[in-house]
Amino acid sequence: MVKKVEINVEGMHCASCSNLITKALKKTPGVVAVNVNYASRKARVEYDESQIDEQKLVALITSKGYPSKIGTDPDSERLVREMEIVSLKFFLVFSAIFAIPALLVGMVFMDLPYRMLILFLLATPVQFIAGKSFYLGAWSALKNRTASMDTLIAVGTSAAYGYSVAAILGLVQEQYFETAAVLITLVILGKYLEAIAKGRTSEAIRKLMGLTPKVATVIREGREIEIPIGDVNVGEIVLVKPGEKIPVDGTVTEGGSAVDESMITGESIPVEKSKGSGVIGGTINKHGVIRFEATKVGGDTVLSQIVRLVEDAQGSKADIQRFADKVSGIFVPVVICLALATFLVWSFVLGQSFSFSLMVAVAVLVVACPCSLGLATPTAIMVGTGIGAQRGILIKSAESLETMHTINAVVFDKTGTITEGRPKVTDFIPARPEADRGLLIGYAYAVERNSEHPLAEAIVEFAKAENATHGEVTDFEAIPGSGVSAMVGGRSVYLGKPEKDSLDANTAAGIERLQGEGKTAMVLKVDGAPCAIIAVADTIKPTSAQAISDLKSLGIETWMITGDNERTAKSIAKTAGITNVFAEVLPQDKAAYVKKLQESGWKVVMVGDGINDAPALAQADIGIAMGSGTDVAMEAGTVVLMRSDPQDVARAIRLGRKTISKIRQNMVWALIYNVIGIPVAAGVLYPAFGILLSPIIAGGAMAMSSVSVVTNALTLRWARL
Amino acid sequence: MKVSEWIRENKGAIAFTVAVMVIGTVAYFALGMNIPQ
Repeated sequence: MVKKVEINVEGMHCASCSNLITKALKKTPGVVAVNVNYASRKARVEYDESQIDEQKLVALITSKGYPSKIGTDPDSERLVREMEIVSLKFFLVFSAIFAIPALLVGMVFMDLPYRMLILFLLATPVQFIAGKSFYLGAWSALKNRTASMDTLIAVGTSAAYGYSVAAILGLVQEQYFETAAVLITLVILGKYLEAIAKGRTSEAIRKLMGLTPKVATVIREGREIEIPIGDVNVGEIVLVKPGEKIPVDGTVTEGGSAVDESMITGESIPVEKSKGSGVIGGTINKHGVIRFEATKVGGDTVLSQIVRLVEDAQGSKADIQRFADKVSGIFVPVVICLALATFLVWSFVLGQSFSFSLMVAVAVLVVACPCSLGLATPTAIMVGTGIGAQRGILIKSAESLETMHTINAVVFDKTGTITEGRPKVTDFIPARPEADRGLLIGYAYAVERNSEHPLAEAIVEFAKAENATHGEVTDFEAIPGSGVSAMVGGRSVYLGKPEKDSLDANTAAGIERLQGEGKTAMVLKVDGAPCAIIAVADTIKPTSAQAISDLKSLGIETWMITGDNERTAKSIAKTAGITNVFAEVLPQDKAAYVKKLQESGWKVVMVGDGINDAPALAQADIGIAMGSGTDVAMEAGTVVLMRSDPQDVARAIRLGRKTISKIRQNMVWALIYNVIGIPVAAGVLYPAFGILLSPIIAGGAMAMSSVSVVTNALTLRWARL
Repeated sequence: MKVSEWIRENKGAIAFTVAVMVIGTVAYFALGMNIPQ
């Protein structure tokens, strides 16, 4: 059986390291699929458990020089990141203490006594203590018959340092101690800034993981006991006091309160909860005391599912990244060859001195930056999916983010997306204006409160909202396909389908008008006389019209698909601002309509609730499920909208477009940087313009190149969606 | 992380560096490189 495991990998210094681990794992028998993410330091491995187990995979990665372990404990991950940053800071301060005086002695104090010895004593600690990690990285790459960014730095600085050692022994004239020391310091500075910025890219998921409280108060044998959250069982009664976090998912059994669910759904207004309401773990109870029955605990809670989805998305690879992986796979060996060629050409073809040719070759080695290529895509994906999750838009894979920017058509399933998904009373029109409205609503309430029809629920809710009361009900009868009747307070009451021949002209006209608006009109008769018309309709969500207008402003065509008759469908579509309608479509045929649009050249997003439109969601280029965190929606869509707000469709598309644009900017920057930087470092401008890149400037440019890529990805956090 | 911990973690590299510095300095003087030429 194929199993999946996520392994935390330490010690990856650049994209070449992730390539190295990928290669090693792929060669291992029993490994089915591998995805190593340098930005998140995670290896996701699918393996055949009959051939290999998790421990062997961990041992394999560790044996390649990358200490690893299984699991996604947020606290230990944070600790590892923090330790790395602190350690880099130590190395940075240490190397700066030596490199800055070395630079001054090398460049300014040219007549200092024992200058060469002082430079040697200042550069050596930087070379071997601060530069230790580059040698170790280069060594582990060499052992695996490959080369990494560490190889470039180790070879480049060793060449400068080694040549200078020859100078203090009197073998050659020039020394480059300060170059080697400053180079290492700059690279460590770059790594330090990169580590800080990379930590921020996964901030969103860490915040999500941090939402879960550590303890829960449960009622056991009538007593309140505080227990670790992992010990809460399904079916247990959990007590939550005002201001506390709800520990697990459940259904309220007692009490009422408003709950702040903004951290899960992005919805800023607290949601009222009473007996029977569902609560989500990680949300905050505002003012009342509630008791609820735990329905989902541990890895089954909505929050755990969200974290898993976001982690999967952050670990997934966009197509554009496969190109970057290919380039960075051959990048380092190519750069080493270029540096060697540069040295040979300057030295033997163009007749320059050994030291000149060596410094040009060192500049080529240190200017090349495979890191920026490797970081360009994953950092943007991590920030994009992270901010999506924080705003209630869950994107399940990097590919859906990538597809999002090509979308030009959105098909909305009507029920539950454009409309609320449950009928509401929209009109109550008494036949005579002077009639007692409260009394008539009371009659309707009386007959419908015994009915189980979905329309009855709407009328009961309406009557309650109007504070209606009702008399005693006897002889209740549900007439299938027609309505309900009963004796209420001694009077015969009927509520149901209007029979046109028994209506006066005024009532008939009113019913005709309401039906024209796509509403279901019913007539209330008391003692056989029509007394009122009640219209019920699935109302449009308040944000639907704005959502459609947002999509239009993005240049996206919209459709509505529904099983309703043409007249009702068109009326709802018109109110929402949708011009294209597929009406009278059976649930099983929705996918065929989506396919038809795709065949006409549209790139289609299908928006539904995932309940009866799962095949259509799967058929579309992107399936967006709205479902306030229900399991069905989480499964059905490639994108899940936690808030069920149709405006989030346009936000998701904007997020996709912005993330892809960041990836492109990063890729273009990383490619242009290397394509221009390497030839300039090799001295192509020297013969014509006398421009030569000193190794120090080259090293600084390299360090800043990867920092700028990560920083650019981080600017997505302030994107307006 | 404390300085002492950092030193402990890097003691191998520190020892190597000190050895290189000592050998280099001895060689520098032994070869007479301190005498201006």
